[in-house]
Amino acid sequence: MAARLASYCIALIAFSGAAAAPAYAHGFGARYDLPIPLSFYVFAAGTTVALSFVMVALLLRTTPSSGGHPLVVLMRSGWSRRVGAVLAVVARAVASAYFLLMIAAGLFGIQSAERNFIVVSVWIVGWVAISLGSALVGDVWRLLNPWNALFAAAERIYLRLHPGRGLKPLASYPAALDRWPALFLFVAFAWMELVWGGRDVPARLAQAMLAYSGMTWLGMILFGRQAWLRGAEMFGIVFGIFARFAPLAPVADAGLAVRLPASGLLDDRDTTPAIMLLVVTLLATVTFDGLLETPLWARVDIAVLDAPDDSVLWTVFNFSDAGALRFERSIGLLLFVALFCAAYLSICKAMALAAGGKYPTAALARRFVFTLLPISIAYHIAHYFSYLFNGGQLVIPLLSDPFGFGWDLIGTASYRPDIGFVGPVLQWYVAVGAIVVGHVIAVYLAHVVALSTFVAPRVALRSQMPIVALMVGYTMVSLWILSQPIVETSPGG
Amino acid sequence: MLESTKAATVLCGILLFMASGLSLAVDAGLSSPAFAQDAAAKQFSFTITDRKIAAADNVVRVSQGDEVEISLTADETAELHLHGYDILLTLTPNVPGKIRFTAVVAGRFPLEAHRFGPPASAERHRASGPLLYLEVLPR
Repeated sequence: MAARLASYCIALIAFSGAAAAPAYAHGFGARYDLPIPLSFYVFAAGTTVALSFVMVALLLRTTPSSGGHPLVVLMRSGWSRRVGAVLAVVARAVASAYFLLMIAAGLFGIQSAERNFIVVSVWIVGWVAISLGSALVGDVWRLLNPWNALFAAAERIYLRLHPGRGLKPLASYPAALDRWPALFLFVAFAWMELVWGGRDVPARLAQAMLAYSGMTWLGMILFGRQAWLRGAEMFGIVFGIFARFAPLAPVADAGLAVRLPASGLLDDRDTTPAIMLLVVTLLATVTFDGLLETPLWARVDIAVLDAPDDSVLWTVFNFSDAGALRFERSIGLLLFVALFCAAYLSICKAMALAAGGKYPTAALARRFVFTLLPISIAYHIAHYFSYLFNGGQLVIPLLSDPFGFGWDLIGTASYRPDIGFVGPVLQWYVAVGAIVVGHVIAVYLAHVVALSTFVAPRVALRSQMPIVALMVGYTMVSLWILSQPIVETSPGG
Repeated sequence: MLESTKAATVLCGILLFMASGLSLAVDAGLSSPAFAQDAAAKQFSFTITDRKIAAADNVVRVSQGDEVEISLTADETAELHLHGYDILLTLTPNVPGKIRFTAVVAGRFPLEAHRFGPPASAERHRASGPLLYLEVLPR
């Protein structure tokens, strides 16, 4: 009897571990959001279309404001810069310690998604919180980047050991590589977030982080820290793209400045083809994340799983159910990115035609790509707002017990996340508000870019139409996804 | 120049309108009235056959604050988990089991089977979605 009871208890513990780790669509953590109600959907869709027309009509009569946008420099006095510099060092040290703790927890801690510090730290803190912070506050990653901070510390130590000769790059970063490594790495990262089976397995995540660290530091040794950060450190480049929207921006030799939100998106001096494609890929993957949770995609999942027994999925590839779903999602992700690129480039072609063929499509594609970013940021907020505040609370107990060993370092180990902290009503208003505001900003930016690109106002108006149409379509897709109930297909055992 | 000032004013107006809507929403979210005590529980009953619930619409819809009772019968042993509310239920073949709770938190919560068959068997369920969803609508 006692043995039976004991085995029952073991089974129960094993079960509760399994219960805590179901399959998730984006990296990790369940979302319990209700779909936005029909009234919100209709209101937002109507407002979006109406505002687009009103704005185009209004803006038609305005002349472009020449000159730059207002910039208010903060930290003018010497002491405020010194305080700022000290705070920056502290923030960097904390971020580096957090980073090392994540890897240690992943490698040596308990292998459960919800009881190990690394999983919530990668997906909710590292990806969602930092990308939203970059967009809404400023380039926080530039301040925190632990790969940069740890390597810079190593450089200083090297300089102290060998006075007079610091670490010199062994080669110069090939100009032809441009930002292509970042694009390639971002596609890999998106695949890991949306498809990879190891995304909620602590040890696999830690290994992935170690591999990326090795590559980054090797790149920094080879080509120099700054060159690698500029061309290949994917997180810095992606968060930097988000941060172009932010109201805070660093200025050369003068600390920080406040600017109009989104005004940084008008600066396109550095937009190479790789950056252009990276922005479009960013938009595509964020939307694909939402699409994966819709009933529409669940039907695709079920169709794949119900494929007949003699299908190549099972006979040639010899897939398990989970493997078949991963295969399907990988294909879906790549097709979706290709679809977004094709849609954007065709719109740019239409703009070039409307402008009378004097402007090459590729040049227009580079100039206009950042104007789409506000819609993407808005969808990001709508999609992740409740997830960040409800799911993110898991960090609180895990800071006390990062390895899952039953510690209580700072007395918060018994904290239970309140999944109703952000309720549906607040979430609906934030989602719909963000989408409409993001759309308005995007249409306005497109107008400003059009006026500065095409000299004649008539041409500017005509050629702006295709991209406004694309923006309305993109906003509608985002709203449609938000109006869909979240459905997930779990790949089972 | 005047025109651009006008456009800027209109834009600011729109943004203010959005912001006020948002603040109203926050207010509504924080000051929701106390829920009326519903003496009778909202009752639902489902049968799991072939590891599925054969209902036209497998969504249970209740309002926040409702007392909810879901009874389930399966044709084999099943370990069920209502996510979010974190309620576990183990069913023995053909014996109805019940979960009863007050729907305090609004949202959409999946009810999933984590295992079918006797506890000793290592067989996990085949890929599938949750058995049903509980939708708790905000008041």
